[in-house]
Amino acid sequence: MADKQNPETGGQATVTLTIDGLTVTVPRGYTVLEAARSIGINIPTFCWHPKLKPVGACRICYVEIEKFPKLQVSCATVAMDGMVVHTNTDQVKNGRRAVLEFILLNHPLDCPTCDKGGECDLQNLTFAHGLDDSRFAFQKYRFVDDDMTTTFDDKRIGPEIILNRNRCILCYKCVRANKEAFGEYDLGAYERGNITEINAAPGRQVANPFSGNLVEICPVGALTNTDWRYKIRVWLTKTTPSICNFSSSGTNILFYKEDHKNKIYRVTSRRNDDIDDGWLADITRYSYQVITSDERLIKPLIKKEGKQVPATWEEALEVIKKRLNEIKDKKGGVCIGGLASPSLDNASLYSFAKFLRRTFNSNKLDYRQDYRMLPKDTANNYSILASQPFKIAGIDDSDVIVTFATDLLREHQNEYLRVRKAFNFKKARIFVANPYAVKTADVAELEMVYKVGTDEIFINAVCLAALEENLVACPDRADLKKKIKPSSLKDAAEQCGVAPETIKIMARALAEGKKVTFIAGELLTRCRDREIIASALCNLNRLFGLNRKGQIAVLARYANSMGAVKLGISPEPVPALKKELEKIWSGLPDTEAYNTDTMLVHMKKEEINGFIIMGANPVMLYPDREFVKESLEKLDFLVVCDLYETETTALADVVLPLAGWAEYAGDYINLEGCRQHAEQALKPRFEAYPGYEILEMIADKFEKKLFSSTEERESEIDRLLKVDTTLPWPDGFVEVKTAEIEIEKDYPLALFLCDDPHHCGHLTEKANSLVNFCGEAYIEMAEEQARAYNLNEGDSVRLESPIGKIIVPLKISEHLDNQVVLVPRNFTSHPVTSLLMRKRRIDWVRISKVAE
Amino acid sequence: MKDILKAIGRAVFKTPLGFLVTLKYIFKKPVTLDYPRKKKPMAPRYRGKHYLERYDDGTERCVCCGLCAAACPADAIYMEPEENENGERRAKIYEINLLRCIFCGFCEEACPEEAIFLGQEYEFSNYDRNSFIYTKDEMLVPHPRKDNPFKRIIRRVRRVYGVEDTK
Amino acid sequence: MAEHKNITLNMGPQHPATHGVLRVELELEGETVVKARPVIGYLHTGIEKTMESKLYYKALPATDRMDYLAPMSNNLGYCLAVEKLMEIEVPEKVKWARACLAELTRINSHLVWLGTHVLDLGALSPVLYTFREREMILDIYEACGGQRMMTSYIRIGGLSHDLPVDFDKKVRHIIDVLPEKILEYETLLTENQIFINRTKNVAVISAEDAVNWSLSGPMLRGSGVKHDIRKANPYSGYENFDFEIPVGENGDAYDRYKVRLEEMRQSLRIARQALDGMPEGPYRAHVPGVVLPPKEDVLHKMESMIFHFKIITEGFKAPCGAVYQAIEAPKGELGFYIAGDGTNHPRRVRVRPPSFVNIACLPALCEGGLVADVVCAIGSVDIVLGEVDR
Repeated sequence: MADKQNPETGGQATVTLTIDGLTVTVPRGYTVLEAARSIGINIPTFCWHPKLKPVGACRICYVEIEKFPKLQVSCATVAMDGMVVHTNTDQVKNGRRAVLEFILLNHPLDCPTCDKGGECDLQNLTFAHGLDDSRFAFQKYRFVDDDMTTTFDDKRIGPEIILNRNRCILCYKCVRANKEAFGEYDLGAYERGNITEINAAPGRQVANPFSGNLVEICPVGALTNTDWRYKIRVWLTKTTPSICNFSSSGTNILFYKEDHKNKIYRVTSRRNDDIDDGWLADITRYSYQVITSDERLIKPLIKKEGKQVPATWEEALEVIKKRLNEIKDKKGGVCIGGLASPSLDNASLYSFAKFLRRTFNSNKLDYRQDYRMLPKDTANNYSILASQPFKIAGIDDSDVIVTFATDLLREHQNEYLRVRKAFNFKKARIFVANPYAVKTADVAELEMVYKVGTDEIFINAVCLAALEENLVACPDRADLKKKIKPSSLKDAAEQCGVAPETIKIMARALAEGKKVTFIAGELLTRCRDREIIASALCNLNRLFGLNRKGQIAVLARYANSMGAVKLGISPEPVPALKKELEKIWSGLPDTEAYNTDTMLVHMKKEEINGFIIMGANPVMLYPDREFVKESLEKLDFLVVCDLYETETTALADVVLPLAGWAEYAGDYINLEGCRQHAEQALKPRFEAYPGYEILEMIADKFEKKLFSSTEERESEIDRLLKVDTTLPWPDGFVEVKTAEIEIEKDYPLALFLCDDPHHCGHLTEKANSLVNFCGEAYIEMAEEQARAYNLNEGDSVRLESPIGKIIVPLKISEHLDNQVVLVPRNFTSHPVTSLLMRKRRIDWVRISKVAE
Repeated sequence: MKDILKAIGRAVFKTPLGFLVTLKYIFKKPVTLDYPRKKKPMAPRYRGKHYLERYDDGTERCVCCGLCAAACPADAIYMEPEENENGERRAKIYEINLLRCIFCGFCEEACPEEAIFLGQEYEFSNYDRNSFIYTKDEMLVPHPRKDNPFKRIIRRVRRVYGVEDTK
Repeated sequence: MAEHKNITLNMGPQHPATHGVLRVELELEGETVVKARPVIGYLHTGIEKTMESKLYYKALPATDRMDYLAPMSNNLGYCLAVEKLMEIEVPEKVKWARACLAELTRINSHLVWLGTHVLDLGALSPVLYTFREREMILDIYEACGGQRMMTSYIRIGGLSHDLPVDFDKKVRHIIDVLPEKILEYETLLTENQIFINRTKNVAVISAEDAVNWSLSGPMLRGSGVKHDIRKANPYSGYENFDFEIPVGENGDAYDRYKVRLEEMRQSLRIARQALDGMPEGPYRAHVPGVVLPPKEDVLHKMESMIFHFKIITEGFKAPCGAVYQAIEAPKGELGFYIAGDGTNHPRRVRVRPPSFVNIACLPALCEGGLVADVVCAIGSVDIVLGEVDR
């Protein structure tokens, strides 16, 4: 049959073989090991990893294959038609035993001191397949270095990684994962033979944003975490399945916790091939420390005579009731607004919206704390783009992947790995287009760095290239030229600073690609002119038919951003959602709806007097810090719930301790709209409560119960989540306006705010391990640029914008190559948002060296 | 009638024989000891109060691996490891609750570093319950130790790389 | 004439003659016992459940605490059951050593029984003598496992340590000395008219009743039923030993006394044979993954270290299935029913304790007798409440 033909091999798409007497049919290209696993036959492995290419280093996976004279390593033997495989014969057992004996030859008797003890693959497999006696009694080889950190032969090779080469069995899993999956080269194998060693690249540290995975996949205790080092034995901990709160993909994790101490000890992955492939970003792995830190808010605080003093919950709730009632009586409930963090769970977010809308009849609520000039409703092209369905696993089998206006490594690490995977395993063609060079470009066929502020022109140029080259068959393609400016590829390419030939290659790839994944990200979402760029993208989509042959989407940024949209936490929810909400609540408030920005403006005008902030920190994250501060200070009454005392809580009249995500069970919706459940791992620490309970308590004070029961809340959420919030694409091509781009004289550099690859938002600074990776803000710029200013790595740099200045150390980037500087926004000590202006598309800055 | 005669016979002739037995012991040395002035020496394997052994150079043997706590059927051992100034694994907290302890000796058997042993001491009454929680400081033998250890120690130095001494 | 009314008398649970915390509800008509009902459970410690919640090897010390007068027998019963479940064959030396220890344990248990039983009946001296002799056995326990009562010496797959160097000497000393001592007890008691008066034809149970009550051990043999698991269903190498099964005739307390004294002599015989025939060899079976490797290896060989580590932390996984292993404990048939479910701890442990079954026939022994004989009846059953209540 034609459809079963595999074009690459020319033969059948499947092979049939016999394993231990069972016949199994697997796709061609499967290894014997994978075939055996597919029918539940377990073959021991050390070096094999489901997401890496086989290497056959450890040889524990021996099987006997008839007609093969010797034992074969099943992980590297491709299954063939008619193979007869035995996995449990005496010869195989002897082979395994011999391999184990060989591996243990130079393995030190370290189990008592090794942190892996109890969950060690080497222990487990020796226990299952090995002998309990050794024939060798001689000195084992011992690696000794001058820079050994400890007398136990441990060596710190990264901020969070400790290496013990004596324990290493040379499976190369760490090196391979680092290279194949993460594209990092800071760890390698050196020397040969008996003294082969895994070590950090000379003069470097293993500090890549995925380094924690190396420890997790290490089958022995050669790589261990400082985070988990000598804390607790694994058999004393219990695991709780949960979801990462700092990535929008909702990476699946396991908390290792101890109940008596109510403490989490570490996080490991809970492999979910649809979402994370079993790789965790370090943010995900170490962010649990945000919860276990002792700096947490312990008790509610009430501002008395200008000072916040600890109080009981009852007192705090009374004050909230009194003050909000005053405002409600004097000015009406509509003068009360709220801002919730998009990292909260569904129940908290929904309770938040219901509380504000039902108790105060107010539509002044939002979940977006760090985007300037947002649209308040959904009737726009940006919202259409953001609502499009997206599948993370869909990246895998795409043959063309475009990342546009996004720095995946800093924003969506999980998707970053997927893109690399598509390149490494499926040879996908990757195109990277961004106003500054990014790490994703390692694997890109073409990297296009367009000029700052020409995002929409670049997209237009791609469309024009397709038209001019006549690549697409879109029926109304002739309309397009009328709607965009400039109307020729040459002009557009010149304006955006990318060679027309390059753009043509990309346009051709988009047109020819069988499955295209088009990812847009934060640089689009944060941009003031997101609507213009989104319009251009709508045209692009229409022209190439991307949504029909793949996926195009703006990725959500936070753990539950998608949930916030789907539960209507925005000032004007999607019409379908509005209808459902009206049904559930029997009526929606018809008062004026404000988004974050308008709310802040009205605060300043003293038209909003009471405000509730839940888990958000707009002072730190919203562009133009001074503006936010002034606005919030004008409020009569501000309630802030958070885990820590932040810049925002400092302005509050009442501060309530909020429970962290591991301290309550909750559902989160990831960027692909998949609802995932995180179980409760800890009892809330100190006097913290989860968001939904806090709101319930406040609502009780107003004698308007939010929900009669938990079931009611859940069923309402269920009803809302059933609503399809996907917005239809516009009919025909849309007009792409020309953006006005302000140019500041004397401010030659464009500043892009970013997250450090080891940080996200405003809380990760509290996680010690993440601080060990990066504990301070920096200004990242191209080497050339730095040289022009006569700056060296580490120098203090004064960064000035028309409205503010900060001093940060310099970090020379390996990637950046144009007039762009990056500053992470995650550090309280460097309030970089104070440089930004609310209404700007581009933040122009200048730098100067700080004299010693 | 016959039974009664028989009984009388036994009462007169047999029963007093028992008195001879008891009488005999009047002239023998008592088998009891004048405890607590005199104490019986315990067998070398005796499982009394725990102590933590040191290496000959005085370093602690215990690396807080947790095997004793894992082997303890009474969950009497609580330990928390830490990294000492040399980066070595050591016990930060090592406590044995002697009220829970059943002196089965499993900890001694489990210990892969020959650190914990059950000693000869069997008198450890106390006035309050908290004093029965023995801490690491109380259990570590003094260095240099005054007496010879009762229990045989196989490894005199820490040795993880095979036959040769490594430190 | 005043109306007759039976008196209900509570004997125990703090009565010295109930050998622990047995409570007997007696209904008396004058001096005669109309009804006797043993009430148990005052020493219930949930040993079976405790064992189920622990790894196989960690459940062992719990067995010590059932019949604390015969810890080695309990250890042996449990270990044999687990070995049966795991299909472990222990080395010959272990079998012989275990048999020797089990017989010493029998003597130990009987000595305590003898002392306390006759103490209850008013004879003050024997208890001093029996405890004196028992010391010798406890010294052997101490030399073997390090503890005088809660030995935990017999382990799954062997013994916890090798036999001590002077084991042979010490046991032979007992074998040499004890017959004389037993003779002394006999001189004191066997022909003692008071003792005979207190025990003969007291607490009688017929052979048929004894079988129907499923009694075992000296309780059964005292009634003339020649049944002994060591002969009927030999374990741990008992088929190699030459010994007699003493039986009584009347099934009264006196016969049980005679049987037990004779059993002690037979035990010495077995112990002597065990010592004479004890082969050289390892004290633990070599069963990787179940039995701990020797400590010397653990400290020098990586493989042994790993096995040691894994066995200690995770134990071993027993196959699915259930076994029942009975041994002839000093007090009767001690059976362990262990159901494994493929995990590292038993799904169910059920102990068939001899004392528990034997004490059930207390009403049959006491009813119709005098209230003073209840003490004799309880004593002659030989119960240990730790085992009855578990």
